[in-house]
Amino acid sequence: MANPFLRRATEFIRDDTTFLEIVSPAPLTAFLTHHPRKADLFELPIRILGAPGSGKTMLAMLAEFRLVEAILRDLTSETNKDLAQALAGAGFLENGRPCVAAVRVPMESEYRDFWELPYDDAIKTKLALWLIQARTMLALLRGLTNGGHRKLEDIRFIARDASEAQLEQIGGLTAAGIRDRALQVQRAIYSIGASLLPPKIEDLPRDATDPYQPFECIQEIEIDWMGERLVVKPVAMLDDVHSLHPDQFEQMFAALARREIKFGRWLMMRLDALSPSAVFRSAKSISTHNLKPDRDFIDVFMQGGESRSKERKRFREMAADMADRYLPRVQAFRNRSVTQFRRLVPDEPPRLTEAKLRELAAQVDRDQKRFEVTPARRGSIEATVSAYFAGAQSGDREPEVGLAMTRILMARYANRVSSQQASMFEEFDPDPKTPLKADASVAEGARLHLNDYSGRALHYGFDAICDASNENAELFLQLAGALVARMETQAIRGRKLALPSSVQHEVLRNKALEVIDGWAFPFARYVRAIVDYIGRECREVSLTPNARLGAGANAIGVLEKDIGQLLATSDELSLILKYAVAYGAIEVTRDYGQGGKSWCLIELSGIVCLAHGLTLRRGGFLERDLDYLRKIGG
Amino acid sequence: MRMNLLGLKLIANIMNWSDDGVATAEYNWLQLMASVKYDGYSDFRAGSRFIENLATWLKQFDPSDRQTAYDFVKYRLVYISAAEMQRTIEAFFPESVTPLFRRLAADSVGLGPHEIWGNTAGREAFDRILRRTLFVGLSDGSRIDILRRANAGRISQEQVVPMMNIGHEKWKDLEKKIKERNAADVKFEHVYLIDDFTASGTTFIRFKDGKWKGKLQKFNEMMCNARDELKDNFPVAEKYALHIHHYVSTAQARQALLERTEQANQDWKDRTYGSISISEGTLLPAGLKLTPGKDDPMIALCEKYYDHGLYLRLIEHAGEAEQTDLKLGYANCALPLVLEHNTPNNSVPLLWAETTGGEHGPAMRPLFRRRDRHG
Repeated sequence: MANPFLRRATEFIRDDTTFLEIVSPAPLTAFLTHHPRKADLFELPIRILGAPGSGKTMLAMLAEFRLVEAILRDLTSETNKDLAQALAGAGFLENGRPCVAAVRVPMESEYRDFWELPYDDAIKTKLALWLIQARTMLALLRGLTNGGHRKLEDIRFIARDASEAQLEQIGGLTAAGIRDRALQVQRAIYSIGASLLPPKIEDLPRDATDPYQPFECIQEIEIDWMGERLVVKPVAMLDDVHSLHPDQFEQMFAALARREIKFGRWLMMRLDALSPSAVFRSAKSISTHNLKPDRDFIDVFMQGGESRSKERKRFREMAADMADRYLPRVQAFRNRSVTQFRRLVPDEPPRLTEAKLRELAAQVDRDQKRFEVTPARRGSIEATVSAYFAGAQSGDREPEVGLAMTRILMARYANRVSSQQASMFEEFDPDPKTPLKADASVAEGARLHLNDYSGRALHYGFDAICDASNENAELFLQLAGALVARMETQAIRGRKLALPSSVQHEVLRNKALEVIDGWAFPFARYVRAIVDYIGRECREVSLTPNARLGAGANAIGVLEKDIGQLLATSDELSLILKYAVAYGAIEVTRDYGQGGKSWCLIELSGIVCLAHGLTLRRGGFLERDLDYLRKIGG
Repeated sequence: MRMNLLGLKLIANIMNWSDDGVATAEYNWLQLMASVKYDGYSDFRAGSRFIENLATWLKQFDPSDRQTAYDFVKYRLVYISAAEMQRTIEAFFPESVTPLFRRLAADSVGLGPHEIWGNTAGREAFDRILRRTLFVGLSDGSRIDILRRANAGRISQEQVVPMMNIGHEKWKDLEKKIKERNAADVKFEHVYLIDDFTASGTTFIRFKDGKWKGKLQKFNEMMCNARDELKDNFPVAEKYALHIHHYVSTAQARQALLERTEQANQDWKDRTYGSISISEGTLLPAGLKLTPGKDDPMIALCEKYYDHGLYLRLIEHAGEAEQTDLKLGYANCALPLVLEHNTPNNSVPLLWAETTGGEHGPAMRPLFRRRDRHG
């Protein structure tokens, strides 16, 4: 693929050097370094939860010992120095040396098939779990001996206290013994899962049924590291755990959450595997086995886990880093010394032509008459707008924005004085009870009005691309990739690469429509119907003359008590909403207080906001109920 | 890459893509197709591959005709790449030979075809039929080298002949080797004639000026001569089963081969084979050829930008197909087809013809230049 931004998944990059060149250390810093339970990340089971494309696999691959060693052995490159710093921050290094030996074990292969075998659930779970453990041990040994830096004899496993009884089952504490036993177990269990007909329970090979629990037994590993002995903590990163059967996952999770296990356990998964209630973050514990989040396991959410502004800021840094790493790989840009993606998508505001501006001014004059606003009052409104502009942070302070803000404030003024009695003898120009205010939300509302009025660009600039991505790395790369394709056209045509705001807006909108059209997850058709309907309604409300919701709406609110009841049932709507969240069509904000009520906000994702021309600023919502959702989804 | 960017820029100018959105979408498509398929065409010259050739090709048309030509490339052109041809060759044995021989083996031992692998007699019958089969390539395109590698362990080197012209020494060698492999095998009972492509079937078999011509007739004649010369040492059985296999064939060619071989069966008194069967790896549908009503704009271009000098240059060969011009290609096949190693002459000449132009029409520039052995 000529455009490197459009590459689908990191696991398709086979070469370590290429991977290290483009991988961004930002997810490590973002999700792990500043995690409040950082100290426990290698002790308790960790569930790393994220939508497809949020960077779970990239994170796991980067943390693998094989790559950590490759990075640390060549610190001459700036890239590797950055990665090493991020690894240290996330707790993978101590004094510049590895303190964790992690391996990624993809769960997409045959583990799910074990759930179809005609045995008891407990046996099926054990078979899959032992196979995972055997493969983890083999992968660990492969990772530790990769590149010929050490031999099997240089590796020694350290058992946890009081695990003598289990030592024999795992092949002892030598690397060769552990490898041989793991191979036996893998071969025996694989033959069961892969056979055409499952063997009878009594015919299962002994190697598959004898106890095998290296996770419970092994605590640390001692290895040779550049001439000295080093003790590292083993960690199994089970990738794409959502591929398991839900019951199988639950049993497996309960088994892995046993407190005596000292082996690090990370479970990377999509939200699909969770219940609607958990996806909506209302569950305080999972339904069985009495496991409690934070006590028995830790959840690391790759989006939606902390304050939105903080999250957005963090994602912008990560996205910029990623995009800048991809940029030199775009062939068409090679001779142009382009190093910063941000510069190619400037947030320089669009400008209406003189003719359009005159037309808008005339329209505002007509509206002044329609709203019966006196020249003096208009003057005072314009002064309010000017004062806002003088102190505003936003770069979009073009004259047309001022005009549109004036128009909104005049409409608000008319509304606020409409109940007051007009005098027959003097000019009617009372002060409204609530004073008019020009602020960022009115300015954003004005930009949205201008988009409707003249097609003036609404979404452009690096921050808008990041915010529209909902902290999803893959979505960001897709949006950025569409922009890069357009920049390639600029390069081919010999023009400057940076895209004007109008082009950015057009490209982003088209790409958003394409992404939504391509949704193929469970209930996608219903989800599409729901977000399209809400999107249209939000746009309509956002365009009311007085912009009553300021920047506009991009969400609906349903009373908390109703959502709580819905999530407690097996109603199909709860499943639809779960998948909508899991695949980035909506976001959910719980317990949002407004008007003395507690709301659950169902917010349209950035991509839907792009497609429907809605603001990316959060907070504006329409009050609705569950019947509304049922009607528009049905 | 620099050259490629220039080519893309040129195409945008030629096609008048003023809208950047359109240009971006087309650039994406062109770059993807060039890298996945078209740049692999074996007759492109260094530094001038698909993008550059497309630019010069489009330029020969009037601006109002260029969109038709571009759409033809985008929506109608069928390009069979080296990788796709390799897959077709690799599929020959498992998808054509195996099912036929399994059926024959099943008949010989009184089983159903599905029971062959589970039955010793069935497996032996299959192996016996396979050992007694000779595979003969009809041209370079039959890519016998790939066929051999793809079937290592299944087909012996000693039962494959890369070219049709088999000398007497080779026949003797084949006779010796078949017996060496298994004493019970004395003669080949099946012969596969393999070629890469047929569009009209004319090259393979035709009746012209009261005489049968083509590769099949030549093969039969060669077999007659060899049999007469070698007598008992001739390693092919009387009335052997002949199988004709093309990796790629058109519906038109298949129909023509069926009809003409049927006629030949009746006419040929010296026919060496007992039965004949026709098979193909990929059968291109009848709807592939440009047809009036559906492809009128492109057919009009084929007429408008046609240089009759092409026909005059290739008249000897074109005359065999009893046609008076070459506007729609040899035998009027009107194919939009390109094979990675050459463009068939049955494809529309606008794709492959290169002429200097003159009194008979405008100069024709090829998109996929054809290496022509006919002139």
